[in-house]
Amino acid sequence: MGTNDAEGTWPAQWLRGVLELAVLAVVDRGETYGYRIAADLEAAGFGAVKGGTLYPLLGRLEEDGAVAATWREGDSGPGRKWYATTPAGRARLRARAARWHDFTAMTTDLLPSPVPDALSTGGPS
Amino acid sequence: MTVTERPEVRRYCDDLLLALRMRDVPGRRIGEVLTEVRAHLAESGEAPEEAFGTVEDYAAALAPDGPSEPLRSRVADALRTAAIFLGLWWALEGATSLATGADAQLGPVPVAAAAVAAMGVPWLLERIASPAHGLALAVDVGKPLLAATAVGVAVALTGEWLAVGVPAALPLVLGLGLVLAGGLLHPIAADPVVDPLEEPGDAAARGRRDTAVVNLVLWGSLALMASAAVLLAVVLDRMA
Repeated sequence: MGTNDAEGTWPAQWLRGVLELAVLAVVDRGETYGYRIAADLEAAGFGAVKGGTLYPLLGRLEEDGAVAATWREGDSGPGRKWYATTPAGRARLRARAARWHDFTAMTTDLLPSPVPDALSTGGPS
Repeated sequence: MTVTERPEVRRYCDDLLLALRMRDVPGRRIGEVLTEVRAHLAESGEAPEEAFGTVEDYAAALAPDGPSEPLRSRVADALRTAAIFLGLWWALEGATSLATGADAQLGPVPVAAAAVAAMGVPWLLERIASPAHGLALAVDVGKPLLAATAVGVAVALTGEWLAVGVPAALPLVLGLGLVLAGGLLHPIAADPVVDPLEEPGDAAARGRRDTAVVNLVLWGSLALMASAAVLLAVVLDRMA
């Protein structure tokens, strides 16, 4: 996707607002673990999500019952904690995603259209 | 196959373990956090502080409320410390008097010292564990220490006047009773850091073993120190 702004990162406030939903969406694609979630988020265009941000968030999702975790031996080195969405987590993802689409549609309607120059450079935020 | 851990990862994990311990995070949760950190760093190859921030910041992100021990448990801890401190003092006073044949003295000094120890030690540990450093920590700790010293001096000056002579057996029995009550009131249970892949039965067995060792070392050291103190008091009395 690679839709970063001119400085190469999204504004931190935007990421804070959407990161939980994005992590839940990545986990909902199929059972996965911390480092792979960070890599998938980066590949999706979110930039590098640090472990210091990601793991406490995963811990909160687990405490809330949105994801379930299982420990398994790693291929090499330490064990890995695998995460999967629970039915409650999936319902939460669907509900929040619907609201997010409404929110972004509303914001898009409100904001001025990007000027051609901004579009060609990736668009300053 | 086990990958050799980088020295900076080992250092970071050691420091993180300590920071989480100071925040009263349970051993099982600490084991999970450390394994997760190691796995992430092994796979990403990042420097620990680059991936997780400073140890203090990451510990705060994982346990934002700091020490989470409930008030009831804190009160029980303070009572245990006070009971054991006062009990040991009185038991030593009684044993020394028994050995020297003099009257034992019961006064306010050990009671005040026990109160200061029970409230001051946990408070001091929390201050040291908090991110405050240097001058801020010195001021923070200095004010109450000065106050405690002033109270201590006042009690010590008036203590002898307020103390009463009693038969040696009284503080000895009272003291041993208090030590026993303090030990039973809130027994110390080890909370080992557990590898999340360890079998629950093995982890529980290790916890019981660690608890036995902790208690053996603690009570054995207390008994040794008490015996040495009585012996020293008797020797000094004979020499006088």
